[in-house]
Amino acid sequence: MPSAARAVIRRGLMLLIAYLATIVLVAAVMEGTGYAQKLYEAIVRESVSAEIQAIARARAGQTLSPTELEELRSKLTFYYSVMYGLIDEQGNPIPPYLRMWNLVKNSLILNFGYTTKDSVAQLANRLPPVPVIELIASVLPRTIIMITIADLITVAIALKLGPRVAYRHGSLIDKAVIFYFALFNAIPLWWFAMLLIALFAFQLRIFPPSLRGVLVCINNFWNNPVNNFLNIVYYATLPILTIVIAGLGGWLYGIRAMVLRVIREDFVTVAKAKGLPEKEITSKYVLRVALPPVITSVILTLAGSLGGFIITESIFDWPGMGTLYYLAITSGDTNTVMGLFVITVGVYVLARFILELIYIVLDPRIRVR
Amino acid sequence: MASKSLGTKSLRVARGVLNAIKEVWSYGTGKAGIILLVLLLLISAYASVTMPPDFISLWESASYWDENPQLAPPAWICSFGAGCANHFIKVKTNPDFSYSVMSKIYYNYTFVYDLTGDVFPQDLIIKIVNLSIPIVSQKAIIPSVMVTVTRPDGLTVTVSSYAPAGIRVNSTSGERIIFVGSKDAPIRMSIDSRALANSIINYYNLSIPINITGNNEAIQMLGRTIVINRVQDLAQRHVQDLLFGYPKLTIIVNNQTKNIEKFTIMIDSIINFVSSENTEEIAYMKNELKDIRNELYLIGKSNVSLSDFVQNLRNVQKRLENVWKLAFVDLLLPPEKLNELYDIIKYLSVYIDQLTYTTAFFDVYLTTFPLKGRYTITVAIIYDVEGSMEGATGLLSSPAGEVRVIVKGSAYGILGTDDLGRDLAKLLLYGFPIALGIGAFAAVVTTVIGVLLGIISGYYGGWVDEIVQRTADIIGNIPWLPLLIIMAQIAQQVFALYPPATKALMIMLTILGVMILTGWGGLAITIRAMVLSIKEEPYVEAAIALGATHRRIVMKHIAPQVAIYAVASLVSGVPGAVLTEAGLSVLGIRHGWPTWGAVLSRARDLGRYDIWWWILPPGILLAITSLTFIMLGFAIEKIVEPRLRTL
Repeated sequence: MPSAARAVIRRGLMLLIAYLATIVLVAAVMEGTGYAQKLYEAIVRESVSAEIQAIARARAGQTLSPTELEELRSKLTFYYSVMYGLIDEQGNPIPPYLRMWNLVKNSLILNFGYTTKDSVAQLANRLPPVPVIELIASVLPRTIIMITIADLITVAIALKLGPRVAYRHGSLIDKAVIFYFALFNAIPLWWFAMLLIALFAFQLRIFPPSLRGVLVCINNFWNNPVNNFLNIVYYATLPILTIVIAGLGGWLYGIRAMVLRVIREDFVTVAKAKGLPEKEITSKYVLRVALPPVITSVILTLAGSLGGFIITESIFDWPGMGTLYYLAITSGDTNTVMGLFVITVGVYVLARFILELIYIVLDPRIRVR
Repeated sequence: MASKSLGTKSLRVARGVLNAIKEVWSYGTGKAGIILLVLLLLISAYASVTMPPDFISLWESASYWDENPQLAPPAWICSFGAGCANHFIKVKTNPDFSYSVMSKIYYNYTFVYDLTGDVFPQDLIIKIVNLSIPIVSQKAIIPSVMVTVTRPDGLTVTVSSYAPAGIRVNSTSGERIIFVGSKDAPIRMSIDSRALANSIINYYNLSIPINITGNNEAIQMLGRTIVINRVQDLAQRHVQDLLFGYPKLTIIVNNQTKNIEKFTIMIDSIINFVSSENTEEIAYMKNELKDIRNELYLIGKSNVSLSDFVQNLRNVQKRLENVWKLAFVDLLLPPEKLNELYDIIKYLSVYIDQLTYTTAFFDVYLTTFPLKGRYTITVAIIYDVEGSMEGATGLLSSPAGEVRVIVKGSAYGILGTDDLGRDLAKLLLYGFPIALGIGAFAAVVTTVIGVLLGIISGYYGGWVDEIVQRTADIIGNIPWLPLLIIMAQIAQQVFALYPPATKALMIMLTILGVMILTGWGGLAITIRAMVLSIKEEPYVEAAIALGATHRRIVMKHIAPQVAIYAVASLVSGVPGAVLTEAGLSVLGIRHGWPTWGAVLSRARDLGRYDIWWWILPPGILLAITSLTFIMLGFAIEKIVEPRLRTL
C-alpha cells in the first residue's frame, strides 16, 4: 500500500509541475513578446474612458474644463496602470520578468478578467461583460458530460467486441478491425463530423445541422424537464454517434492487441483446459490482465482526443468548450482564450490523475509492489 | 585515401537504405505507402513549380477570383444529371473586324457562347483593359463602348454601353495616346438591366391580355406597368435569368365574389331595416336597393374584363348615390342608416380605386427558362473622328489591350469553386507542398531533437540524463492542443501588423515550434532506454577497452541501431503535424497559407457542410496523406519489432 501511495504522490507531483510549467511558459511568452503589455494598456485605456464618461454623465450639465479633464485622465490612468501591474506605486514601469508572475498568479487563482464580446457571452446566455471563469464554468459541464457519455458507450462496445475479434485473429473481421483503426487514425475526427452533418442533417434531415438550438433547452430546462431532456438527447445524438464511431477503432485495436498478448499466457491455456466457458475466461482471466495496459495507452492518447473533441464540438456548434474556443479565437477575445487554456490544461491534468488512480485500482500488481 | 573511405561509407549507407526500402516494399502496406508517397511527392513538386509567386498573398482576396462562378459544383457532374451551363472565358487582344461609317470607326470583338444545358449561367462579365484614347491635334477622341448580345431566339439586346468621362489632355506633354483601365483595375462593363428588361418585354410582347384588362386605357396602362415592374425587378435581382432565358408570364385572375359579398350583406341590412314602413317612396327605395343588390350579386359572379367589371361597379355606385340623395332629401331613413348607406358608397369607391391602381384583380407571375443555343456577344469600340480621320486610323491597330468576356458557368473545373469563386482544385493542388512541408519539417526536427537528446541522455548519464528525462516527463504531461491554440492566438496578435507573407510564416513557425517542443519527449525516453541497453553489450565494452572514442562508439555502434527506430518515429510523426494544422485552421486560427485546413475552415465559418465538393476533397486528401505515412509506419514497425510480424 505505501508504495502505491508513493506512486500516486509522485505522479500527482509530476502532473502539478507540468501544469505550473505550462502556465509559466505561456506567461513568459505573453510578457516576453510584449503582447501582454499591449493587452493591459488597451484595458487601461478602455477603463479610463469608461470611467470619465460615467463621471461626465453623473455631473450632467456641468462640463469638465480641459485642464480638469486632463488631470482626471492622468490620475485614472495611473490608478488603473498600478491595478493591472504596469507600473508600481512610484510610477516606475514594472519589468516584464516581474509582471509575468502577476499573470501566473492570476491564472492560478482563476482570475481571467472579463469577456466583452457579445457572441462569446451569448454561449452562457448572458450579456457582456461576463467574468471569463463564470463563462467557462457554465460551459465546461456540457463538454464533460458529452465526452464521458460518448466514451462510456465506446468502451462498453469495445469491451464486448474486442476480445471476440482477438479470438478470431487473422480472420476477415480481424483484418476489417485493423483497417477500421488505420482509417480513423488517418481521418480527422472533426472532418468526419462534417461528413456526418452533411449526410444526416443536410441530406437526410434527421438531425439539426447546428446544435446551437440546444441552448434554449438547457437554459429553460426546468420549465419542462422531460421534454427538454428528450430534446437535448435528440441534439446530442449525432455528436455522440460521431465520437463513438471514430473512437471505437482505436479501442478495439488496443483491446485486441492486449488480449492477443494475454491469450498466449499459460494460465489462459490452463483455464481453457479446465473447460471454463469462453465468457468467463474473457472476463476473469483475459480482460483482468489486459485492461490496465489498454487504459494506459488510452490515457496517453487522451491528449490527442481531447483536442479532437474540442475541434469536433465546435464543428457541431454544441455549446461547450470547443465552440467557446472557436468563438473566442475568431473574435480575438484573448481573455477567454487564456482562461480556456488554463482550464483545459487543468482538466486534462486532473483527468489524467484520476485515470492514474483507476489504473492502480485495476492493476493489483501495482498495489502490492 | 580519405575520399575512398568516404566513398565506401556512403555506398554502404546507400545500400542499407536501399535494403530498407526493399524490405518495406515487401509488405503490402509498405508497397501502398511507398506508391502513395511517391505520388504525393510528384504532385507537390509539380505544385511548387507551377504556383504563382504571389499566390499566398492573393488567394484570400475575392477580387482575384472574380471571373469564377461562386459555389459551382465540379464540371464533370454535368455529364450526369440535367446538364450545366458551361463556363466560358475568352480574351481577345485584336478586334475581329473594323469598319467605318460616316465619321465613325467601329472595332468589333465577337464572342460565341453556346448554352447547352437547361441551367442559367451565373453571370456575364465584360472587362476592357487599356482602352486607347488617341489624341489628335491636342484633342482626345473619346471612344464609346457598346456590348450587344444576339440570342438564339434572334433578339439582339444592347446590354451595356460606356464612354470614359473626365479625360483631360495635357497639351504640353505631347502624348499621342492615353490608356484607360489598367490590368489591375480594368473597365468593367455593367449590364443595363432596364434596357434589357425593355427589350425582352417588347420582343416577347409581354403584356396582360386584352380580355383580362378590357379596353379601358387607364387599366391597360396599369397592366403594362405591372409587367414592366416584374421584368425589371427580375433583371435587377438575377440579370442572368433574363439575359439567358425566355420569359413566361402567368396571370391569375382573382375571384371577386367574396369582396362583392361584403357589399351585398351591408345593403341587405338596410333593406331589412326598411321592411316595416310602407309609403310609396319607401317602397320605391326598397325596390331600388333590392335591384342594386341583385345587380351587385350578378357582377360578383360575372366573368368579364377588369374594365367592364369596374364600369359595372361604377354604375352601381351611381345608382346607390341616387338612392342616398333620395333618402336624404325625403328623410326616408333615420340618420344612422343614412350614414351606413353613405359608408357603403365610400367603401365601394375605395374598392374601385383598388382595382384600378393595384394588382387586386389579377396576380402576375414572371418565370424564365434557360434558352439553349448560341449567343453572340459583340463588344464594339466606336471612335467618332470627325474629320481628323487620317490622324486616327493610323494610330489604332487595336483599340484595347484586352477585351475579356466571361460567362460564369453553373459548374466549374475539376473540383468546383467555393463561395468566393476560388478554384478549389487550384487551392488543393497548392496545398500539397505546404502539407508535406509542414509535416516533414515538424517530424524531422522533432525526431532529430528526440534522438540527439535520447542518445546524450542515455550515453552520458548523470545530471544531463536527469535533466533531459525530467523535462521529457513534464512535456509528456502537457496537453499540446490548448498550448498550440494559445500560442497561435498570441502569434496572430503579435504579428498582426506585419506584411501578410511574413505574418503567415511567423504564425506557421510558431505552430510548428510548439508542436516540436511538445513532441520530442516520448522519443527521447525510448531512445535513451535503447542506448542504455546497447551500452551494456559486450562488443561496446570491447570497443571501450580497445580505446575507441565516444564519437566512434556513438556513430559506429549506437547510431545505426537507433536509426531505424528514428525513421519509424519520423514517418509516423508526419501526419500528426498535418492534421493538427488543419484542425487549428478549422478552430479559427488564421495563418494565411492555402492549406487544406484553411479551405475547410471557410466552409466551417459559413456552416456550409452541405456543399460536398467543398467538404469532401480536402478531407480525403488529409486522410490519404496521413494514411500514406501510417501504412509506411506499419511496415517499418514490423522491421523494427520482428515480433509484430507474427501478429
